[in-house]
Amino acid sequence: MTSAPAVKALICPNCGAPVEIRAAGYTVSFVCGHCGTTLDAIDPELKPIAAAQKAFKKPEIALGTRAMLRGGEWEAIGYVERTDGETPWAEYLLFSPYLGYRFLVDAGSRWSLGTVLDRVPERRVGDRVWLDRKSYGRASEENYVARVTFVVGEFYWRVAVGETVRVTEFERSGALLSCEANDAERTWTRLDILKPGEAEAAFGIPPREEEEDDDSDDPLRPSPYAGRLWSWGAIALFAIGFLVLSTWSARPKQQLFFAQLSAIPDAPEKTAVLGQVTIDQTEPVTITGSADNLDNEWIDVDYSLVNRKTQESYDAYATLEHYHGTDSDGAWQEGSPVGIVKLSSVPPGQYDLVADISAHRWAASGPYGNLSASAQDATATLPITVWVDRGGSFSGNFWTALLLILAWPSVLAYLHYAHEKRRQLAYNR
Amino acid sequence: MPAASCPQCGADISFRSTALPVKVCDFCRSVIVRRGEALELAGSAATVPDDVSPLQIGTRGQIDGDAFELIGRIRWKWAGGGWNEWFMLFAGGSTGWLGDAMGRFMALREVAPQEVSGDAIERLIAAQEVMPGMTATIAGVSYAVTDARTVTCVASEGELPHPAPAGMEMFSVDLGTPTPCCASVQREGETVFAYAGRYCSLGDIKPANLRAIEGWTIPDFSA
Repeated sequence: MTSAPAVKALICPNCGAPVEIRAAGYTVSFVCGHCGTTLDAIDPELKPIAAAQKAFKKPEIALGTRAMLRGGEWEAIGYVERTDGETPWAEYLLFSPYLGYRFLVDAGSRWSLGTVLDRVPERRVGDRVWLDRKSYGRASEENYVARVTFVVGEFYWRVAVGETVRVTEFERSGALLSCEANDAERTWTRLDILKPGEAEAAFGIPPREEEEDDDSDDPLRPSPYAGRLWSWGAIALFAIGFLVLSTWSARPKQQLFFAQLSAIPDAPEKTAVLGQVTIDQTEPVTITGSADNLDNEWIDVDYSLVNRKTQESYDAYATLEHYHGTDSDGAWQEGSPVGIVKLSSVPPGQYDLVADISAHRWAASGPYGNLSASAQDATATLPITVWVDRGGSFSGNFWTALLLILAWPSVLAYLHYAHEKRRQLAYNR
Repeated sequence: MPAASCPQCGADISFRSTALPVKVCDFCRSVIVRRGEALELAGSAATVPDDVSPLQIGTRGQIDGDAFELIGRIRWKWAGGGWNEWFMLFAGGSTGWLGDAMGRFMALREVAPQEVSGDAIERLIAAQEVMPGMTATIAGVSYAVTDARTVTCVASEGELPHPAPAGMEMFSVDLGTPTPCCASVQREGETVFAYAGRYCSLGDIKPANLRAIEGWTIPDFSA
């Protein structure tokens, strides 16, 4: 297959230098790179239409340079310098016969790649616009006027130094929508902010000085935390799902054992085999002891679940207590007559539930001077109810796990939103 | 495929479709018009100037599932630029135009006159000035005029629905919407023709047999 020539070689009618047109058929204005005269590329004679500019410059990226950028092959064919009156910036016109045109905007420490839109973003609520299901907020209260201060190369429109457009910008993380309007038309461009060094590497120019803090000093760059936030957020979501599933899919709570016994206050410690407990699969076990009518008494219970085969023992300890009295603030009471202990995973097997029990009844002369004397008959025994449950959710574990899972994503979310806040502030400065 | 020879230079010519009356001779650039069995000369088409359009006669593609092949081209210009209109022959025998301007493409099909209305159209028919911002309704879609100017034919090639000799003038109105839908309305003499469609990228039309351009790699649009 024969190839069509990519460049059209011509002679500048003003200075006589050989020039090349790289987008023949599309180029309308051609500014000679030797003398700076603007030529009419529609005219076969390349009639000059504007005199040479003073202070001629060479763009940092030489026109004619090719680069692979964001998946496409591009050639820099035009260069424009513009200013808003305070800050100057540069724009390269990139061309590919197969992909059309793009704008490579050089704002000093930041580069972006602009694509002219074939549609107008939707304006729905207030100062926000929507494009491709993404919303963009108004970048600043005021719009500004951009004026062309220098041009060289070729363009698909009538380029001229001094030409102005009114610019309104909308922003989201990593991208801008820019609306440029003059009396005749209105053009919307989406600018994707490039990664630091991306444009320089593609076009083979030295990388721009990285600012010391690559995030906070240029908040217009996409939040460096966003990506990590999404991936960690996804991991956390997955983990929470698993946690919820495993917590609630646990077998419903079921009572394995129930016994009633009694403790004798101030008697020597007594060891009792309360009964047999059968555990059919490894899972958490809860032992609850309850003594309903304690009156300035405590009961210590040392539980042991002893495997009948292996004699392996799972131990837990609970205190049941209840005190009351009167002090300068009036009547008080404290202590819990119910003690719940958890054994997080007990293997299957036949177990004896053994308990060492001791109890004490305080007289008025107890450690607290204001303790009321127990009203109980000195010889009364203290009834205790003990039962063993298996399964059920350990809500404490659940919340702890949830906190651990969410800790790192929360830190990232905080950093991300702090960055977004800075970005909005930077625009409204 | 009806075969004949150029009445000017004698070169073999062929028509892709019996419905199309005009063919530009590939050799001598004569515009040949078919009237029944007879072939008549209708001036010279001029050679299309070199450009770097990725399209060529023989490029194939699809628009909304309809396969087409490019069989002709008219090159137009005005004071602010120039562009190609590629003539599309669809597999079903219908035709359309693929506009090729400023690195963007517009796939347009003709719309029947009774489906075209609005102040811009009335003024165009009355040969009054048409200004940006005026409105038109074409095939049920509302458009606003974005541009209106007299354009001049630079050159043409291949098979065409009408002769397009170099220097032919027409008044052309471009219309847009907030969506990729776009339209073009033209007045040639007393007649108004409307074309409506949408902007597309080269990738959108799944192109095959694109034109090779020195030093450039044709992107893989099938991906």
